[in-house]
Amino acid sequence: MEMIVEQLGTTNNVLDRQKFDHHSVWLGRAFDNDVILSDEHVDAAHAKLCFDDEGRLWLEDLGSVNGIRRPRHKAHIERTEVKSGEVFLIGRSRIRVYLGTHPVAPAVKIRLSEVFLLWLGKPQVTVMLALLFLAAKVLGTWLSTIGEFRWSQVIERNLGEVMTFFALAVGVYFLSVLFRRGGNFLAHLSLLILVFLLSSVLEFALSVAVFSSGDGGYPVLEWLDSARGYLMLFIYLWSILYLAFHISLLRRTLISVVIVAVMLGVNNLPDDSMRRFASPQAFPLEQQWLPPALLIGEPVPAEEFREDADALFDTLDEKRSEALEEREAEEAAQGSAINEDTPSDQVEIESDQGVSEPGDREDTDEAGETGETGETEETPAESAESDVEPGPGAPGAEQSVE
Amino acid sequence: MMSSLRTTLALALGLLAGANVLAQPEMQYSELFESLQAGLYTVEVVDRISNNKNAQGSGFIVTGDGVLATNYHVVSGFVLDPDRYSLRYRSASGQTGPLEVLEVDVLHDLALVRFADGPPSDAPAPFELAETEPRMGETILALGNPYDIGISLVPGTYNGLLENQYRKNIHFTGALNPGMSGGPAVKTTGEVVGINVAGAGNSVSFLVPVANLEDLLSRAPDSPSSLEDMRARVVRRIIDHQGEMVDELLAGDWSLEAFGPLMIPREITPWLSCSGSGSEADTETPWVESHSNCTLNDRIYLSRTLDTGPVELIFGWYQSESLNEFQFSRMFEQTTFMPFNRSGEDDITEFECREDWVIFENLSPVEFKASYCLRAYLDYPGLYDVLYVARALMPESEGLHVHYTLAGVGRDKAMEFHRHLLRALSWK
Repeated sequence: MEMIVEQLGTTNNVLDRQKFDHHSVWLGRAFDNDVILSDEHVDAAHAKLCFDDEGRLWLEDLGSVNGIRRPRHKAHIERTEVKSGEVFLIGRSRIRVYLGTHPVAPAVKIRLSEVFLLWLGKPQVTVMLALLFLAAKVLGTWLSTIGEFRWSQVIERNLGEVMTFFALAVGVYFLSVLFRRGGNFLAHLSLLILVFLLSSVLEFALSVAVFSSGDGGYPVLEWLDSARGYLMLFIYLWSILYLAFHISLLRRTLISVVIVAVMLGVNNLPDDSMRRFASPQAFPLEQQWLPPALLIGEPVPAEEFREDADALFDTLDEKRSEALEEREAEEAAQGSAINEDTPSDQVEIESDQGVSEPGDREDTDEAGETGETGETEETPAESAESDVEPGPGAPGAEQSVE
Repeated sequence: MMSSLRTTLALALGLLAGANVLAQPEMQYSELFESLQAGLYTVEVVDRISNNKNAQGSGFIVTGDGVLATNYHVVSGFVLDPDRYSLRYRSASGQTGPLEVLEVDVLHDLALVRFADGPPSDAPAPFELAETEPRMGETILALGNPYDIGISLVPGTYNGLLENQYRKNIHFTGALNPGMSGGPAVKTTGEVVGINVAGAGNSVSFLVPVANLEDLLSRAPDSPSSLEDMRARVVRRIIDHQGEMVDELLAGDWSLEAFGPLMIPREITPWLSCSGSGSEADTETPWVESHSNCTLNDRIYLSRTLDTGPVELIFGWYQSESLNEFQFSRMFEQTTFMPFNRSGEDDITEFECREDWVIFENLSPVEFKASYCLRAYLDYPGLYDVLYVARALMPESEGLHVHYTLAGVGRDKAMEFHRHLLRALSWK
């Protein structure tokens, strides 16, 4: 008859494991016990595990101060039969008991991806990737510097990103130490750099595509660009779930998919109305320029483009009708709101009539500011200050003061 | 002794006579003011519910049966939203009453309105319209009700028509202030030469020539038509007028001048005023750039939030010795293009663009990335703003752009201009 007693940490991580083939095993703080529990809440002789004649294993309290219980149960146990793999609290100490016959899962084959992730943890690999990262940053900064290039710009522009990478690697490392036995700091750092480099290569490929494309290709490319972000997120999550948390293939794939899906959902909340105000219209649609040698694909003959432009008028006519309908709907909604407000409007009429000052109205006059000489509701004094500022007055441009 | 006294006397007399000559116009002005004041009215657009004034301007009587002339921008609030606003007049003697709109000329910012209850029994004689243009430098007098503080007379000088406008206004040196819009500007003999329309500050002001008012009077109906019909006529007139403008552009001077590696048109018509600008390379901006900007900044007032009419034709050329092609393309993508007429969100659709790489036969083998952007006016069917940009990057850090804006044009003329311009260009 064999039994295995494990001493566990707070997250059920194994701190110590002992195997016995005795009939009975003593647990307590005194040094003559088989399992010595260094816990002030444990009695010198606290508990005993022993097999009965039929080979069943029992756990028995030896009259301790704090007793024995199962985690998340209040009831103290005097004597109970132990099922293989059960966890008990003895004082404040946590133990798990297995029988020697307890089955274990079949061996998992080491996957290439996992070998690769562990390979990333080699110092020379990390150094090589860090140098590549540095080279990419210097190149990127140099190519996008329009004025004079200074080395300090590389630091200025990229310090934030580098710090973020480090903080992320350190953070994941500590989480990993907390939950398991030891994280793989260098592997995390290498992984981040690798994901960054991969993302940069894809980004460049996409910018070549956007540069070479016309408006027909933009939606697909925009979709691909956001897919690139989610793919990088997936790869990163999937890898650290293995590196830092040793989560099995199926579970880590599932968790990564769920997180990416949540991100996707959050980023695609219906916010069309907000976007309409947030992003001013860009001219042209895409401002992506690269050296002409990187231009791929065939241009459209001018005549064909002109025909497409002509057809755009029909599109605009449809858009105009839609916008008109939308505006009418809005006005109808506002109209009903105004009707509800009528009492306050009437108050306003009365006050206005009371003060029979024709110039003193609440509306501000735009025409005055724009240099038009009509339309004013302001009092002369106000207007003299605000409206009659001498404008640049280029001859021939009446509204140039706008 | 005698002779010197005589000289002094003669001098004194001369001075007196001179003073007399100087004083004479003032007397004329006060008489003129007396005689014209009765024909001047204050025109007001008033919110029917809140009783707030939406706009206030001036107007003057132009026919025996009680038709007043004023600016379109004074009455536009009423024309566009008669359910919300009412239109009324106030005479110098304080009488008020409703007005109705007879006809408008949006292009020249004019409107004819009429006493809705028939002309008052004591209606004054109409203003006389001048048959001849004033001489350059001649004194003319603008009348109106600035800031609603009372009828005023502003003397100033006539400086001819503005050459850089398509619809040419009179350049008047005299301070026009808000509220005087729609008032007449008269010769010292009292004949109307123009209608006050805008001021640009520092006594630089503009008048609509009276000939436009005569045109409007000649085509005005005897009785007001519905405002909807009137608005429909406005749309047609703008489209026709802008079409004529494009025709005039196409028939203009398309002789080409060198611009970087390109041959481009410059001042196609006198009213499309061109200017060039450029900058040399330095350490902050290590590239050479030069621009040719031709613009017509002559706007048609449509409403408080909307105007139309400007034309823009811009060429840009960039070149750098020190930037590599990546750096140069990064610089090149920072240029932006914006429409420059005024428009509110409820006036116009958003832009819709077609964008692609295009090869022009006359400009091959260089490929241009062209964007043709279009938006439509919601209340003016058939009227569009066009914004076009074609840009090319050439090897060895050289870049070009061709850009035009046509605000407020119809489809056919827009496409005609497009074809004409792009076929006209060539390499040096």
